Amino acid sequence: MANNILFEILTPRGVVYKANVKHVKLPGIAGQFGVLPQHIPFMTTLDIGVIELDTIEGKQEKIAVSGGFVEVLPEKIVLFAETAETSEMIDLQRAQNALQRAEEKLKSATDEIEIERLKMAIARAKARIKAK
Amino acid sequence: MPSLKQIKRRIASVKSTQQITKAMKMVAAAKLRKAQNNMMAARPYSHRLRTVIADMAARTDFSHFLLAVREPQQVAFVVVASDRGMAGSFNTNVIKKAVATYEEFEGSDRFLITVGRKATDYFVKRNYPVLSKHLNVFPDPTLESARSIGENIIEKYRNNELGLDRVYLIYNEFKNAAQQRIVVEQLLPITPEKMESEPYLLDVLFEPDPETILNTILPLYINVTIWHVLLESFAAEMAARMTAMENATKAAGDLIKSLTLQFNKARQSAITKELLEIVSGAEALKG
Repeated sequence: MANNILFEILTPRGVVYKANVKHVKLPGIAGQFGVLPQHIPFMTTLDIGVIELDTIEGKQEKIAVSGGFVEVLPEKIVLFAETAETSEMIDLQRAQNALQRAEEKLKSATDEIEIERLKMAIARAKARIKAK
Repeated sequence: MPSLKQIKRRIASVKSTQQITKAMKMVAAAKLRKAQNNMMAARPYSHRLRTVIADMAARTDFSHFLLAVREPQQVAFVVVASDRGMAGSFNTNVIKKAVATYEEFEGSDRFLITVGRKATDYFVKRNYPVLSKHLNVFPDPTLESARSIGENIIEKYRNNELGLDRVYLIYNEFKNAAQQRIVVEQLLPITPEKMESEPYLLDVLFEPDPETILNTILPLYINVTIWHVLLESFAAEMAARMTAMENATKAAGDLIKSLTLQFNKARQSAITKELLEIVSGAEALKG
């Protein structure tokens, strides 16, 4: 019985991650959930957040993701997102600056769409900081 | 006949123009490579997305407003041109095709969505119904600008008052470095591809439900399609500029050659004239 499964993260900028993993924890829209090999096939949408995975070498990795969706298939897990960054790709300083800027702007924002957008930006920045 | 000095000055000025066109060509080549890399990078993502959509659409137990086909009463054309000229017939071609396509849909209410300054200026000046204009997308098309164009189109499509029934993309496709092709492509409603193999998602559970999933997937698909079109058009623009600048560089070279010839002739005749004067002067002295 296989104790690992191929996990792929596809973004418009390229394949961000592709390797076999033992376990993945994903930020589902209805809360975090874990996927182990041999999971039944399913598909769900994701929230902005952090992916945690256990590699076959026994290492833990974190990846920040901007929502999207995931397909869990018998032979692999495919995640689609507009952006995804592994912890090496994340610039902590930049994420913190972005967070500060967005929070600053949110205080004076009045436009509903603008507020929504800023909240998303804050969530993305927080996910980045958490994944670092 | 212009004086030697005048010819010399012209040669210098043509030479410096040639340097500019040469540099522009090189810049275009570098940007073309970058756009092509981006296009390649997006391929696995968009290909896989298309498969998922095709598979989901093959199941008949649900529908979505971005997939539903209606009579084209209200049609919008997204015209992608460039912000800058100096690219041969790049902009003229796409605008011409857009006007022709616009005329084809005479019975419908027609609108335009323009990307790039050249398309925007053309249609706004001629009082076409421009729904929205997207400027400053180039020279560095980003995923963010693709997303904002995508969101804008979906919003116009969903809007009940306006209620677009169909959206077409009109753009320059990058065929190869020497050729561009104008493409008219339907963006909305999304036409899922025909499945070649058995649907593989038959036993898949949808969490929470297929509609929510489609609500996420379809906009992602539209965004990546637009991102692809922006890159495609940008690559084509760079290729067109490369050709135009190559031609300009060559023309400048020819001009320099003929000016040099003219310069040499003028110098030669000046020397001959001087010699003649000296010789005839000496001849006269001999008496």
